[in-house]
Amino acid sequence: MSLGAFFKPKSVAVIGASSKLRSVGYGVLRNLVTGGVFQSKYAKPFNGEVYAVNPNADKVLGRHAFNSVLGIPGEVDLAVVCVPSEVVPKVTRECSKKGVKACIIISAGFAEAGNKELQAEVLKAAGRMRVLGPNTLGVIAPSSSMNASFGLTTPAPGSIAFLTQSGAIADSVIDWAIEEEYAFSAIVSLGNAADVALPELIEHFVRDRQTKVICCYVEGIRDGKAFLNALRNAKRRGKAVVVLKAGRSASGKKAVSTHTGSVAGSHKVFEGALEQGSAISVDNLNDLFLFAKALDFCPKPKSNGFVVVSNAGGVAVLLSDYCEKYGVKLVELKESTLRKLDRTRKMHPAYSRRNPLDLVGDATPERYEAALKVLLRAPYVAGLFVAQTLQTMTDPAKNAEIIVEAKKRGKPILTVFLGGKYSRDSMLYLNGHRIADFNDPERAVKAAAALLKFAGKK
Amino acid sequence: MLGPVESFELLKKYGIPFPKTAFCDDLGGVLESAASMKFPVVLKVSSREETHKTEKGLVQLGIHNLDELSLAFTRLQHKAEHFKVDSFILQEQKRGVEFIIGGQNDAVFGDSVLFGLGGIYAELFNDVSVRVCPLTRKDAESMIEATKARVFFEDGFRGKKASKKQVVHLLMKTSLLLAKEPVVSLDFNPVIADENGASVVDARVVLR
Repeated sequence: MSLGAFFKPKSVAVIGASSKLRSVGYGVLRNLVTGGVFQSKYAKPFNGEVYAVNPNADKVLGRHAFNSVLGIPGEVDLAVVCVPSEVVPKVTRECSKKGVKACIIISAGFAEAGNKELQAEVLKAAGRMRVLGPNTLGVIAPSSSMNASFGLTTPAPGSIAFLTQSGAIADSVIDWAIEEEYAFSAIVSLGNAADVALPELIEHFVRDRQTKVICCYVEGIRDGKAFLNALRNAKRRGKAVVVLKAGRSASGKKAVSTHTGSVAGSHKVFEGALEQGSAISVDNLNDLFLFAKALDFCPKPKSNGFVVVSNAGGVAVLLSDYCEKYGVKLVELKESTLRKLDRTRKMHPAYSRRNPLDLVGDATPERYEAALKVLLRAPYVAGLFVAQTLQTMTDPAKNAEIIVEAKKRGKPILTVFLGGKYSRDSMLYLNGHRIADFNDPERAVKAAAALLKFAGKK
Repeated sequence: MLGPVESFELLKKYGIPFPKTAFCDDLGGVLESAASMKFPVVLKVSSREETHKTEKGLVQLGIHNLDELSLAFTRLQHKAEHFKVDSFILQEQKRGVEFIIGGQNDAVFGDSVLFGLGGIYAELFNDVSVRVCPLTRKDAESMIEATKARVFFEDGFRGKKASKKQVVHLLMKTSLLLAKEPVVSLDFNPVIADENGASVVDARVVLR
């Protein structure tokens, strides 16, 4: 059965719904009813039916509590199970009998705790019903206004699907995403992945029209061939997959008798598979989402030829260094481009007249605007890095508006508004308008390298 | 684990090139085999158990004539008393850049192929690349490009160059061998390549 009911159900039943503050059954119901236990402007009530199931209560959070899922009069597309592990097989059987399409089992105490038999029993009880988990945080689908998890709240709806084998990391990512304006089509915690596993989820989001980028936090996979196939399908359909693999050092477990085994550790195989599947491999959580942001916000560069525009010589030099390090090419500015820049009469007499284009410290928004216009019109310029440091003459808000306007020319623009407190509003404005700001030259260049790799230009 | 004779037979079956090689039990056999070989040759011990043969002095390189060969044999025989030695291997000596090609059956992805610089460097710097089988030509090329060894295939380094086409060919043959045989792991180390060819000088193969 397809996975659709996990993300766009019409009705959800919470089995083990509770009025007890700080219990999982409370958190899940509250998240469904309000969008988030923690306040967020993106947290909205689920717009389908929500049923509470608890045989020991009449009412939960002011709504009728059913004795069993079987007592619910209407259809139930999705069940969220948060009862003690020993009761899970029974309620799973009831859900299956009811005709529930998809079941999220939040309860822990299965394979991860050594109880493989209990997990197998649950799978058997599920029959044709699809199961996510057990031992999962749940699913958050911001675009369907559905928070079927005990994660703190709902982030903005958008185009990133985040698939994670750690529920706790999902929590931190949500907290962070709200601060940084990352926007998601879905956040899925896989838990023990007894039934629904990573390859099938990737395949689902490859077909999901809302999703542009699939981010994965992976600790281990079972079916390597299916995973590689899913990556190849993503590539065929033009979806980017970014993967952070944890637990690399455990790779030594499969030591083999030959010499090769001592260096071949299975992490190397994993990395190789990512390469063969054209996925983007990252080393840390920061890069996972920075790259996702760039891949989500930026159009594909048509060639490997960027220009740096900066009001700070130092940042321009750093960007150039990083470009060389990460294989991003800075194109040479043609004489005709320089003449056009001169003709704008906005350039400083001492401007660099080469790439990186140093607009000089007193650069006004008008000077940025003139430079951006000329450069983005040049067919040989594939994209821009726009750097800004704050000086008394700098107008970060106006500069940000100019960049948002310049984006309409359809070329990737990665910005480095280098600073903190006084640059922050402009950075958020940029991110809010789907311009990827990195606040750091190296991160911006690494993200551009990921874009080029995805576009097949590197 | 396959012995050296069976390992080289396996290479032959899959069209994987290796230098002219003879397995001998005594000096007479060595000298007789040398008659049909081109000098310089290498004399080394054949052993299922001993690894790191060079470090143990169980390999005699750069033998240019029959006199040197007799001397090398005596030296090796003397050394061999301290190790578990099955027989002796006489081989035409290849010159070029040393690489390593490995194969392993991974629990998650199945058969995989490894490539890196030979000798101690691949291990020391962990500068190897791995791909899941079956390898396409593009996969094999990207494996080479993913390591620092790529310089030998582009401009060369200190006058040493290797044929990318030949190494790619070897990688793909290795992938084919892995697909057809029940290999747990294999180790072609070293593989010696120059601008005209690439051959497997030593092979260790473990079957299920």
